[in-house]
Amino acid sequence: MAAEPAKILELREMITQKEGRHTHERFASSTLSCGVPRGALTEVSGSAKTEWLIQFLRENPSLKVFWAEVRFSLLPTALHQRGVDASRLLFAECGDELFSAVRMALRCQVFQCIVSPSIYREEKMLKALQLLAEKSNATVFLLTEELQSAWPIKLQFGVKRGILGKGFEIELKKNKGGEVSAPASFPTPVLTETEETFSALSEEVT
Amino acid sequence: MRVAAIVFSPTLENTVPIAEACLRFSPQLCIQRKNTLFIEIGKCRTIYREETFLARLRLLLAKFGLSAKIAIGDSMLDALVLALHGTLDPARLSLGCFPLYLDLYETDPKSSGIAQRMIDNLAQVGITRVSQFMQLPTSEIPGRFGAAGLLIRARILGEMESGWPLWVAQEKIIEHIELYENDHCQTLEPLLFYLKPVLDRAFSRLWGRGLRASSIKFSLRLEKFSTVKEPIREWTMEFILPQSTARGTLPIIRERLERDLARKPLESSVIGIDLQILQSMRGYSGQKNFFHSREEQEEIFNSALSQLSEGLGKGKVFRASIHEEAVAERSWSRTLEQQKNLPDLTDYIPERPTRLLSRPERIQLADELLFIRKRPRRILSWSAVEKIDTDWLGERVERNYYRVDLEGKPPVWIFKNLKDEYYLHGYFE
Repeated sequence: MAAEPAKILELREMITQKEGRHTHERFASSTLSCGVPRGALTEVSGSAKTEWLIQFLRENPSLKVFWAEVRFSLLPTALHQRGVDASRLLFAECGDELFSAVRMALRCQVFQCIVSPSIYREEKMLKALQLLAEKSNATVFLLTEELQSAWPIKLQFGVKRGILGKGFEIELKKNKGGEVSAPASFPTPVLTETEETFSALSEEVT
Repeated sequence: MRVAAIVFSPTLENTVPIAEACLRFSPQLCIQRKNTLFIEIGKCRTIYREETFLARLRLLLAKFGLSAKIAIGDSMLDALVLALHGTLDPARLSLGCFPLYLDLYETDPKSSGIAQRMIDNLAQVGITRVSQFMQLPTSEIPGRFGAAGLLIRARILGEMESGWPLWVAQEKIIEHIELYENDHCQTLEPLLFYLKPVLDRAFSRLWGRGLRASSIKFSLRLEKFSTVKEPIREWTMEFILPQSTARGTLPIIRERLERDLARKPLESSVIGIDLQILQSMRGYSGQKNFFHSREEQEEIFNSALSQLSEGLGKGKVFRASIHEEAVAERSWSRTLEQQKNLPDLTDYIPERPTRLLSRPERIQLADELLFIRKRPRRILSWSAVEKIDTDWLGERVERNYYRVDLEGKPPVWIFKNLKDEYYLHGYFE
């Protein structure tokens, strides 16, 4: 006898709750209809990735953020100008210690959002980060030039500026467990054509 | 007022132990300036003479194995100038004493730079002695050297004294726990388990006094077997942000112990743990706020900051303090404390790029092309010019900034200097 899909989903949720994992929570984003998963890795690329991330932080003002870089080039004044309260951000210039810094920040369980350049080429490193992110229920943003194919990453997309520099155009590459819709408290965002195309593609694949 | 200035040579990092010993001379001591101890001895002149004081002080320094330059003057500044420069005669005193007159306690990191620029500017017109500087008309000084010049002049004339930040010896908070061999405390986890109640007790005592710990020392007493080379292991921890709970402090200690014990494990079981609060500072109010938990949140955040700093090293983890400054590289600074009042930059500074190069990079322009690292990028549009021209007292900056949109690349932030050279300074990624 075939089990009902709803029952299977319910069972899966119960198992993840028992294991202390949180798979269904998502942070809202006005430009990304599927939201950003908590307790998972999200990889962002494109020519407007930092701008998009700043907008995301502005839309989620309660998040405590740890922003790690190999050599610090971010300009915190720009964050302040774009409406992000810099006092809830902690920055780190890590050099070669980037991985251990991010791991340490995740183990603290203080930060709900961690930003790091995506320089982890070994899958076991990504897996370690994914497990820690899941345990601390934090979102790890990996900023990269080119999206990589790695299974521990749950959400991958590219961001570029919209037409006439207004808004963003998002190209969704991967959205594991993307059945979760945007939270009801936020207005449903208007998708750009590209995003719609990719959402449709993603649905087809699912 | 008679003040003794003691300047230690070689440099002494921690002047507290010698200051505690000097309390026998006078209760009025100051250790605000690094490597220097000031003692007010004027009020004790009926107890001892200055010669006796000097003889006793030298004996005390010898006991501590320290050597120092000692001088006695009518004020802190006089005593310090005498100790460092050997004279108060303006005709013999070089301008090198300006940093002392400007900022006696070296609290402002910019002050030595300001004083040095003044010395360099004066040297260019042949003024090298304090007496020559004092001959300059007072009305000329503010226009050329600003408030700093006036302050130095007033302090040389003795018209303005530096305050006396009184140092009071702190009560020691010491806690310990005795363990037995069958407690099997030789590895990290049991060690942290037994350390927690010790920390709890120490922090409760601090909390009762409205204080937080900024530095602690703890030592582990090991079972004295013949094979044990180091029966007492000690750790001194200076927190970059003061801690008030065992919960916040334990992860920091764990971080340190994990590293140290991996390198050098304990040679036998721990039979005792001693903890001492070395330094403390004012904490939050004793009563928790009923309506919000901001202080608690701040405490948790500070604990994370200290823990990360312990792992990555000092200065690597920081917060940003935003300044109302048009020059982008000066518009923020690294800090540890949370900035209370953020400046409103709306309508004051145009939108800054998200990424800033640590050093501007030279670029070339040709027709509608911009060459960045010799690679041509097609220009789509230029923004209006933003002229930045700072005052001449600081490091002068005169630049014309533009935001340039490029084809297929993030917009860049470039500037043109006075020599009509173009530099890339940041990008809007």
